[in-house]
Amino acid sequence: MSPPRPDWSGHTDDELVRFVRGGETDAFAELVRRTRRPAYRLARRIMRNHEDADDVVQESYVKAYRALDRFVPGKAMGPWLLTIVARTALSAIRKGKRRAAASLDDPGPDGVVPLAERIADPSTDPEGLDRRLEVERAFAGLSEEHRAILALRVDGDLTYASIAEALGVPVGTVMSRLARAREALVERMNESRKVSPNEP
Amino acid sequence: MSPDPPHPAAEELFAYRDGELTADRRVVVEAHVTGCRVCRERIDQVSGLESELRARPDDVDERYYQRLEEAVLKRVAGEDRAPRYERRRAETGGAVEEEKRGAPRLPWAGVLSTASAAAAVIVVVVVLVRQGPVWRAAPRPVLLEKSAPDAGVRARADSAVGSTRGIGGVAAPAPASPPARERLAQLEPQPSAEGKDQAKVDALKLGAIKQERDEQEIGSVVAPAEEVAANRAVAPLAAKSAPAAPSGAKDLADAPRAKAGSAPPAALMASQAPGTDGYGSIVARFGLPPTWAEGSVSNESLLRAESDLRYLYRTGGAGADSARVRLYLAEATRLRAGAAPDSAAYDEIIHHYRRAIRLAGGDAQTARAAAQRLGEFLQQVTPSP
Repeated sequence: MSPPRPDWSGHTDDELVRFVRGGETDAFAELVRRTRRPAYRLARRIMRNHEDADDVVQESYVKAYRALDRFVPGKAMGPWLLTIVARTALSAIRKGKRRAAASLDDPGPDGVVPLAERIADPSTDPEGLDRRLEVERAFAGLSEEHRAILALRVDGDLTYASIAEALGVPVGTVMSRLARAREALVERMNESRKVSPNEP
Repeated sequence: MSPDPPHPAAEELFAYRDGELTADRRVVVEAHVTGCRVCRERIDQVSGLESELRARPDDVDERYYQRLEEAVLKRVAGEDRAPRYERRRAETGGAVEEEKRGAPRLPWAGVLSTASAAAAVIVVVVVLVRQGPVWRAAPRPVLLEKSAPDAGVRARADSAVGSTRGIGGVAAPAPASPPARERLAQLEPQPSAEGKDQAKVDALKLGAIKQERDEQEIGSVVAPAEEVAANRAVAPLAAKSAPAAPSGAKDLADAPRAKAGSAPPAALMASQAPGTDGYGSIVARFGLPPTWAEGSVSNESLLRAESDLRYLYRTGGAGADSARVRLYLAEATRLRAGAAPDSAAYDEIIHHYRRAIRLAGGDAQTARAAAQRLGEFLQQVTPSP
């Protein structure tokens, strides 16, 4: 039986960063626990399947660990990490490190549930379910650039300045690119409704 | 009739919606949106779509997150470069070149030293085997019995043969073997040694000589009786923490490594066995609180108690108080080292704090104090950016 791990949950992000820099690798686990959900969601939005997203998230945490000395005390860890996730994801896309896109209905590995199954909540009305799937499909059909910037804004809830930092572009570019991404999403939704036989 | 004012650009409209416009532009756009149904619908449409996206259920459940956490920890544990980097920064006042953190690197220093050591061993073995007859004519090595002060030391040396390369006698002793001298004597008169079995005999002789050398080495390495006792006393601790091999082994390795200990106080000799109140009597004698706490320990008392506490820790007598002993030792070392500890003191302080945190178990007060002090220490030695 391994010895119990120290409980780091009572410490602030800053304190945890100091512990990790002092060699307490276990304290990094607490930082991972605090940020893993938004990190994975962002990676999954940008990448087209779970496996790529998993690679991106793991790689991002390793990068964050190596770069902890550059973390500015007093700042929130979440946006800093999401910036790394976004950069890592876009870099993976540029390098062609991608697997085939997963269908919304694809069964995943253990611990991963297909989206169609997850949102098919019995309490969800059929119309709402159809609409949710429609939006997800429209989003999945966007370009990588548009998916990334929308994910940073929608899932990461980052400010324009943080998005600019993550993408390495000026804030003005974030404004225009985000607007184009939103318009593209609306356009795809409109097209989808035109071809959908069930649309009223 | 004046035409309707032009709609704001999409960038501005959505930036207004996101609260990212400057104050003056916000006033202008807001005035337009308030009176423009088309723009309000655009905003509402986008907001609705983004709400749907935000409401997307997680693709993964807790099992995945657990695996992710374990995978990440496994990867970063292999790196474990932060402390070294920190130390270098502390030593050089931060004027250190950024480490290259790209591709994974092999520990070349370790690889080269291992390879060269292996090559040296091979060369020595080949030379010795080829010069077998010369060894027979050479003067006999000094026998251990002549130099050993008593039979007890001899017995200790014999039993420690199998563990000298381990962690100071903690490993199970090797079974007793015939003294090397006897084996040499048995080999000497063998007539077959001159014949076809010469190589075999030489090899056996070489082994016997090496064993005798090992025995002599052990006599000097393991010498202080208290260190042997210390390792034996710590052995149950090692067994208890066997699954955590790296930290357990490191802890054990600490005992012989620590050189700052003092001569054993007589009173302590009687109470050093695990389970006794050695720690309690030390803190009582020097007027220290059971657990170090800021402001409650005088520097003088701490420094006076240090050697006894260090001895207790070295001999494995701290038992359930190990974390508190470590915390005191960290504080004492820190006090001695001053505001700018050298790298050895830095290592020792960090190590004691870390062990205090790990050994604290359910002792939340000690764990919290050690964590807090470690954080402050790192803050102290890390140059501000």
